[in-house]
Amino acid sequence: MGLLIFFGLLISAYFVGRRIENNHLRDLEIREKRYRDMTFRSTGKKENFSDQRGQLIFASVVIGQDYFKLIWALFSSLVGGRVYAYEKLVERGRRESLLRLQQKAQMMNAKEIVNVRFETAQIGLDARNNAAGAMEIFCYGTALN
Amino acid sequence: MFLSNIESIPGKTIEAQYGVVLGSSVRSKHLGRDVMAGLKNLFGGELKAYTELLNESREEAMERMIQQAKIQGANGIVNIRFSTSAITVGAAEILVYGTAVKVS
Repeated sequence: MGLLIFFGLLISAYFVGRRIENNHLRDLEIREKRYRDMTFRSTGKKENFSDQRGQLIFASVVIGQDYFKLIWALFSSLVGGRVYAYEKLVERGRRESLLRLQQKAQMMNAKEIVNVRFETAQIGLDARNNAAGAMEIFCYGTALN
Repeated sequence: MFLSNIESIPGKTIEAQYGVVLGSSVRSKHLGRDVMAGLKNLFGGELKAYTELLNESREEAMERMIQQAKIQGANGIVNIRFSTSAITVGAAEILVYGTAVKVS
């Protein structure tokens, strides 16, 4: 009975999780086109922007792994090598947070974001399973206009 | 308050520096939110409750940093950096620091 519930969860997590992921990727592509003109770079820390105005902006997203991929990642870490499930997840998170940053910059009519920095933090969701697969991806920079 | 994570405030000149100011905030999650996040986590995707929680926490840390800068008579903070760490299960510390400056 317990095994049945386990596999039931696993299979539903696989299908629902895949759907959520595909929808997200499609959504990302559409939005990335919208913010194509908003340039960003990780340099500019020591430059002189005396003829411009600027402000600190930041954006973040907490993104979680589905149950199926969690188990899959567990098995792939036994074998070693690339953990594809997580590569995909961090990529999604990073694109999402960068888009949110660009969105914020556009709302204040900025032309460019300089000194963009990314940061990732792991978030444990419950006491028994610290590596529940959720992570916060955070990025910040200075918007110039 | 002028804030930036580069070494100057765009459009301004720095007149005086007051040293490092910092603010931090340790937050744990609300139980009701967490049950939902746990369910959501089964299927993956964004955990909005957590995104909000960490953003609130970050705002609070920044507010504390700004207060510190104001006490010293600064009107800007340059070279701001953020750092996040999970210090215990379910609680995260957000630290934000920078150098308080006076600009004109």
